Amino acid sequence: MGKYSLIHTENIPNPTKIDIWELCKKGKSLLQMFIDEHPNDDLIFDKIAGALSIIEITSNLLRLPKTKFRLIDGHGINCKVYEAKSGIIRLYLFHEENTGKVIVTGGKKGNQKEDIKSVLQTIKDFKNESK
Amino acid sequence: MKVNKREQILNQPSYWIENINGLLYNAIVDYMEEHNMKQKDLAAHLNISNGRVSQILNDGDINFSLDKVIQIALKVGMYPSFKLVKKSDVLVEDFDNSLVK
Repeated sequence: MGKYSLIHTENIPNPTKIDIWELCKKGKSLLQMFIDEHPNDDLIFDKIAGALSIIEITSNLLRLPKTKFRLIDGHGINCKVYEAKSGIIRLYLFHEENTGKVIVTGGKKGNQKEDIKSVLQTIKDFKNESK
Repeated sequence: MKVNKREQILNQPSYWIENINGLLYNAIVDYMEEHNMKQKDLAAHLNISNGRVSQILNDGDINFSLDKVIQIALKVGMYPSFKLVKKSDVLVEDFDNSLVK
């Protein structure tokens, strides 16, 4: 059995046209682990909810400006990787063929370079395992 | 458990702010495209400054007063429909949807 798996997200409140999943490592959702890192920080949780709202909107095929939802390019991975932004919070996701959008994890403003590097490596590992 | 997670997200103001901003942004962009408008045409049509239009289109942050939001919605051919829904009704509906999934 592989290290990575996908679960249907329970963090997006409403049904969407494109299915949304969360990436799990050893059975644990990486997004949920990120959320659980900030148990008593109301501001951060509020912005995580804002970023989830952005993912919900774009998964219903509505458009948003690049400052809210942008394509991360130049990574050489054979899929589209996105960043959803609300305030200081960023959520990272990718499009998985015949599946939908997969939320990888989150990060904070100011740490994007390292976060994106780590997210891209995680996606590569997931893709390699799926081959 | 499923309802609980949704409830936590739905209880955050930013969830709703991003949602409303997104709907308005789409209505404005659709209207611009349908009417072949440039940024300055939209500013004149909405009677707001070029800077404010730029803020909407580039940042997606509407952040106007309620009366201005209503004026903008009407000017881009939409009736703003606003309703308050009991939290308990939404959460029951969410639970039903999760069962369908």
